[in-house]
Amino acid sequence: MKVLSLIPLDDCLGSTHSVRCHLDAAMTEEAMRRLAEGGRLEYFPHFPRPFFRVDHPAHFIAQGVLGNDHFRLTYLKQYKDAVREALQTIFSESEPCQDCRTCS
Amino acid sequence: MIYFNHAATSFPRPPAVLTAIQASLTQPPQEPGRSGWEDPLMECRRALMGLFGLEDPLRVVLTASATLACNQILRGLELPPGSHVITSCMEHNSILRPLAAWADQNQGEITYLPLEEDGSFSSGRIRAAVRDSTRLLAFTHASNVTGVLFPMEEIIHLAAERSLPLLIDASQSVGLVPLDLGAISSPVFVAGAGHKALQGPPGTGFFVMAGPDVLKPWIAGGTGVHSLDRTQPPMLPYRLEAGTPNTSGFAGLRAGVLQVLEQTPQVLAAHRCTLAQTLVGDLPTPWRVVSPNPEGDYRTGVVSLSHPEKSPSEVGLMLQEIFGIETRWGLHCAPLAHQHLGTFPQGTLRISFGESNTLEQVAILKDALFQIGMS
Repeated sequence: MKVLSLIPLDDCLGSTHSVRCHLDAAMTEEAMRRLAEGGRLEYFPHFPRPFFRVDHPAHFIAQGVLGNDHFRLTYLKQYKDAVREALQTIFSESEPCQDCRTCS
Repeated sequence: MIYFNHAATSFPRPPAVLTAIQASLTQPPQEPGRSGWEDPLMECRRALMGLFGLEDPLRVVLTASATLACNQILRGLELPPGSHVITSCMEHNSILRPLAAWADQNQGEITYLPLEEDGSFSSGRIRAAVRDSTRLLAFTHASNVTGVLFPMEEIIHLAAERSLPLLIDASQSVGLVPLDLGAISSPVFVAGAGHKALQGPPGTGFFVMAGPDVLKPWIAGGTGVHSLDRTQPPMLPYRLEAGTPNTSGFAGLRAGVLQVLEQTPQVLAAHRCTLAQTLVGDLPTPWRVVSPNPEGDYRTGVVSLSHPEKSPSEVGLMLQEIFGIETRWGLHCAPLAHQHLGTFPQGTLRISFGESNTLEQVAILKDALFQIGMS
């Protein structure tokens, strides 16, 4: 599974970055658990669409729905490099995105 | 998808609006002074006049947004350096930022008045805050965070009594809560957005002027008339409108305004109020209404909610991704409001109803809030 792009989301809050992480395939339970390794996973399979939240030690929160090809990342601005590195490790096939305004 | 974000922009647009925009773009261009013989902009001005009890369409200035309208008004007043302005903590950045920029450049002073304990705004606070150096009052008609309505008739009366110009940001209220400017003696400016309750397209806004004509142009340029004049022509609305207008957008806005006038603002507001009261009247545990509106007056259909543990951002995403419900979370471009309400820096989850919403949709929202609240 690869990260295709990170799209900045305007959430009106000054202190955090929110980006939508787009994947090349739908998020699976296995991918969710890999994303949560070393962190804290909250999983809500009973919702109409199974929702997850991961509080990751690389200083980001990932939230989304299994079956979607995207999820949301929220992090403090000073951790953007750590978040980027963590994503590349977790999604090992990831390639550095070239047109990501958030990382630039 | 269920859309509860009408305070940001209306959705879906009425078919009449789409038809008007398409007709404007597919028929030969009609732009006053530039092309054609008809004046669709004047038709839009006439439609807008109907919302304010005004008789002169030249007192309606068309802009690209309410923000630009506020900027033109504030800069056009050319307040002397050192002046004092009174506003409120509930203002949108469309008022806050132009005021801050003006104050920084002109050694100006700004007083931000708070709400009362019950969530209302008291015009008595204005009376107490007026100084000899006060040169402008600038207030929202309805908060885009809590929906609270400011007592605008009292404020207009107070401004007239003190001969103070009054800038009203009616972005959330226009088309829902009438403002009668028919017998105004002091300068009153009402700025509005075209793409919210008036159901026009984005990129349309306006302001209307009552009382003495005192504004200087903020932007200069082509008007299509009086081309030999070295500076901006003096007559309205050209003095305050430079550049090619968004003719197709204003054709759509006119269609939206005519529909609002036909359905009447009172009926449209009553619909929003019913939906909002249904939500706040039986809100699932542990949700809380942020600054409930006094006497349940939710005519603008805006309600802000908070959860004791979950952030508005998280809940908004859950509503969106799990339940297909569109809301708005965060500060809503009104940071002082959240500092005042105790919801800074995370803001609130804002639910804002519109004409397309139903009681069934509110029931679905409440069920979703219940499920999220218990998770």
